[in-house]
Amino acid sequence: MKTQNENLMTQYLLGELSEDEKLQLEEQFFTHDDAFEQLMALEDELRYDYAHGGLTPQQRRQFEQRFLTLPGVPQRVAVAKAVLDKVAEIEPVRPPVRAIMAEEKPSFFWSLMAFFGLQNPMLQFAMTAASILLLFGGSWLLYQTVKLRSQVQQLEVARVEQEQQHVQQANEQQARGNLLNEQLENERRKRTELEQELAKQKAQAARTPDNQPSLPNTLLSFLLTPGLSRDIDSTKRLTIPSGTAQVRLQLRLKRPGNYQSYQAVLQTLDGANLWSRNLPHSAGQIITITMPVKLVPSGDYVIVLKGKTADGQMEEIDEYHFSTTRQ
Amino acid sequence: MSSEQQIYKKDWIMTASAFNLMLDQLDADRDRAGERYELIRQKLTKFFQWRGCASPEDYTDRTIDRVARRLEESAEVHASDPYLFFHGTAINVLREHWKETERHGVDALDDLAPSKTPFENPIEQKSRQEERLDHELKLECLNECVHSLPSEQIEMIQQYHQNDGGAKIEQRKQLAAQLNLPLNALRIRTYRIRQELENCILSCTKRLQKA
Repeated sequence: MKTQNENLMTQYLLGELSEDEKLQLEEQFFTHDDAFEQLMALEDELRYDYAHGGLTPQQRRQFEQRFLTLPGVPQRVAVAKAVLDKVAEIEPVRPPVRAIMAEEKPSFFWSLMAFFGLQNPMLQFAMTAASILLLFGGSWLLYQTVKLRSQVQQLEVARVEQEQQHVQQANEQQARGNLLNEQLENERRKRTELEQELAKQKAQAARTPDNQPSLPNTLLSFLLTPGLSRDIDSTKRLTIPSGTAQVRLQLRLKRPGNYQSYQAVLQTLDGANLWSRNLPHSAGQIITITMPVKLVPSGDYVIVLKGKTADGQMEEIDEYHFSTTRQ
Repeated sequence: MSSEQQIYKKDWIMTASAFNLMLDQLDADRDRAGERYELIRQKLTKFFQWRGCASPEDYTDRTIDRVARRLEESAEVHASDPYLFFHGTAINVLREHWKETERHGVDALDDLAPSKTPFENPIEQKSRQEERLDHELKLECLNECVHSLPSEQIEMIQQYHQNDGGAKIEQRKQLAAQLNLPLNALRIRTYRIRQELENCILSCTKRLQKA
């Protein structure tokens, strides 16, 4: 049975006290060494009781949360368990407490014998033999009990180990999950950075005017509008810097037509075909073609855009006049 | 200000003079003061551990440094008892720790409570492996140390840790009555026997490892 103070101390150790109660108790153990030793003894007793399986389920949980996670404590619990097992193996030299207390007065057996006056040696012999048999029987029962207890303790230890393994596995899984999340986050960050970089490059490209010199081997893009006139004023002038590999021409349609496909033919002003390209159907008002720059040395050109009608006939749609100047 | 003395507060470093001043407050006799200092250290460490601090030794050092610094600054203890002065300072250190934890939201790994740290600490794992290695040694030592105890002490431990629940309480009451001791004195006695036994196992294991 614990005193009230010892109950408070146990509650303190298991984290059940209010802040004020904790402070009071701490003052007590800071100023009184015996109170501190009492607290240390209670903490140690909790460890041994835990190892022995002697705590209530709630105390057991609290002990596991507050102490079993501290460095070295699981090992000390294992030592406590081993000590208790070893001590339990040892046969008591003296009879247990109850027996000692019983020895202080004549036993019930001898009192009974005296009461009935059964002091006959033969009767005594018979009674002694019966006692020995009882003693052997009792010892065997005791042996079986100890054996069973040992098995129960082993099962308990196995259970605790299994619980610890589960906790360990859960923690490992959590750690793996955290690692994957971290990797995912890194990948997301990298992707965002790449997208930003791409957007920056696009914006930079968009700011570059059509006829400004650009980096070598780049692709130049021009917008051409249709026109029937071949006079110089209505002709789009394209300045192509040296090192440009390809030129992209965006041909604006007067109106979107319902053509199955298109064909763009590059011609000189004399009508000689230089290059042609078949193009897929487009629902928009812009048809884009890309051609090598070497096809358009400095000079005047026309692109004739044709459309394939539903009956498979090629029909001329628009003409786009332009002149090139190579730098 | 001499060169051995301090940089202020957090960077303050314990000096010999500050340490001596602190010992003087504990006891006039230097040996006794040393013993008291060790006990206070132990109390502070357990205090921080019981209050759930992850690194109780660090907080103990901080508390002792702060007490020494304050003593050096004002040269007197304001609490009625020097131990309460340590306790009061320890509570301040603890509260600062809580505030710091709240402010930062997360603890540094070293400051995390053990229950929040990864279960598989590599250092602990290594030490567990080492422990497995000397498991045999421990068993041998356990046998040796238990048998070196006087039989009365073995019986006391046997009987003290018998049974569960109400039967356990009854058993302990009977044992205390038999030995004519109050229950708390019996508890201290069994605690000391267990400590002695564990110390014996520890020193025996070390001895066998060296051998």
